[in-house]
Amino acid sequence: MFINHLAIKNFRNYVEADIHFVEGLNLLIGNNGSGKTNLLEAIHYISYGKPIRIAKEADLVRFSANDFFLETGFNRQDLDHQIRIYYSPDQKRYQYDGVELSKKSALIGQLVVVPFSPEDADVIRGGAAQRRRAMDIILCSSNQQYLKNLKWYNKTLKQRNALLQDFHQGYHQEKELKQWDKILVDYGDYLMECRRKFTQDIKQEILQIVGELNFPYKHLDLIYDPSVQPSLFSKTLESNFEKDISYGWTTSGPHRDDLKFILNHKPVAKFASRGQQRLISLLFRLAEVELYFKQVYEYPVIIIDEAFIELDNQSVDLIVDKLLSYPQIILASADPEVINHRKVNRKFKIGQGSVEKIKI
Amino acid sequence: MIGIPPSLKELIQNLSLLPGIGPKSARRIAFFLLEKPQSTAERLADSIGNLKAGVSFCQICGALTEQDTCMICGDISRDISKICIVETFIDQIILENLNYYHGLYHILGGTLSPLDGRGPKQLRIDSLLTRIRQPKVEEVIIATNPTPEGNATALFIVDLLKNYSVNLTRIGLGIPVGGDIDLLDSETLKLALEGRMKIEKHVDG
Repeated sequence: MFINHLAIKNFRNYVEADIHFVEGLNLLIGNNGSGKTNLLEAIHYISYGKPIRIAKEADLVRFSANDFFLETGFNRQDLDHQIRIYYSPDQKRYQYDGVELSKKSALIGQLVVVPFSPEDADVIRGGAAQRRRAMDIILCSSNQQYLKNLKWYNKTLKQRNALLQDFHQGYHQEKELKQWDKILVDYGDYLMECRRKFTQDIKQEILQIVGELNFPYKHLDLIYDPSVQPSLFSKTLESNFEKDISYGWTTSGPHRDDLKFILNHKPVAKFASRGQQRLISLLFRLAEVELYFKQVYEYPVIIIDEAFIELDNQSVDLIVDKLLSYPQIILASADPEVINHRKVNRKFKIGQGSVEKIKI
Repeated sequence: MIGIPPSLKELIQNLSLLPGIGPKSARRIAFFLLEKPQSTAERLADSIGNLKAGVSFCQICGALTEQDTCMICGDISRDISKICIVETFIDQIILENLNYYHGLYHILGGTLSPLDGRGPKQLRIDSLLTRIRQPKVEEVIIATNPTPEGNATALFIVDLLKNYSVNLTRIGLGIPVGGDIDLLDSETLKLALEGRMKIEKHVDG
């Protein structure tokens, strides 16, 4: 998959820009605040229906403008496609290959991009919630059934917690709780099974990449760490009955799962260096790319925003070599020398809302 | 809404409290009524005003009615051996419009939903038990929605009725008529397989 062209109007700090990308490595060079990230935001928004960092859609509109417009032409499975998005507070329009779509969700997944961003390392360094979220995002994007089960699990969990908070030991309430438990276990078992399988698959991909690039990470391991043993979820809820009531919420279940990264038998979150953590977060992203390829036999577009910070030169070279094997990479950096210029296929200078193609 | 007289503004605000009506639709309705003769607005106002006074709940099944019991519970031609449990009155109307089911109904008045403060006591469960103790009831059909809340409610009722000598059934979940198997999500397909039916074989001779 690759993007041919991106046109934007009144998006973030851009009045208007029109960019023609090529296959291979596209480099966006500009100072802080010039608008590199905003271009990547536009691509991410077209792909996922939401921005990477900005919380509200309304904030994507250029300051003092009323609406924005995005258009992109891209190639998927050897066919050219086009997406157009118009946004104003009163009206939102989505077009795919010239056909008007009623919902934004119909656009999601047409253009597939995998973003590499500085925040990726938070998945490794942060709490279990961030790793669960990272897992859920990947699983939801490839499995509709997972998305539905996750949504219903969370809903049922909220209902169960509400019941726990208002529990008076009534005969009816105890019976009611049992029914919510059954449903929670039903959805929860499915989530745990998918996560277990996902951990296996992504671990295999990571080890494959580690071997291929000859990284000295022979003892890297990924372990799915469920909060309850999958076949014992129902029993655990039963034995936690008193505890759950006194806490007023459900103390165990897939909502407390973790995905553990282990290097040389020690948890990466606590014992690895920042550089190692950064590198492992990049490996996780690369594995995601490979997993996607295994499903549809086509690579997604890679967008990278300053993701090489904290890494030594040798690691950067290895990662870049791996990235260059993909059909298209769009990389934003403040450092013009971030990548050896011989490897760059097209270079753009970004300055205060302007984009200019420059000679390599 | 600058420049709109206060009385009109109040109407728009009240209309936009209705479900499915946003401020724009409310404005349209208000201006529509303004253009129509006085009698149109008065008729509408009267019917809204009389609503609560005239309509009450059927003492047996919980349906909306203007009498003590509703038309279905009072109809001696209905099959009193079957009771179909639905979440809301609207669900009953939809089932009734099929003109297929001739048993009785029981309207729960929603689902279990601790988040909204709705437990078994807030639903019409006690009156359901009273009805089921009557010897003539043979089958109870559960027709709650296949949502987490609808499922929990169905399971709760099943658990409650397990010691009663009535047959318990739940309406079939699965493939919509005219649907394609390859377009269905796996959960629905699984339910359809679980709920498969035996086909009567015609034996010749």
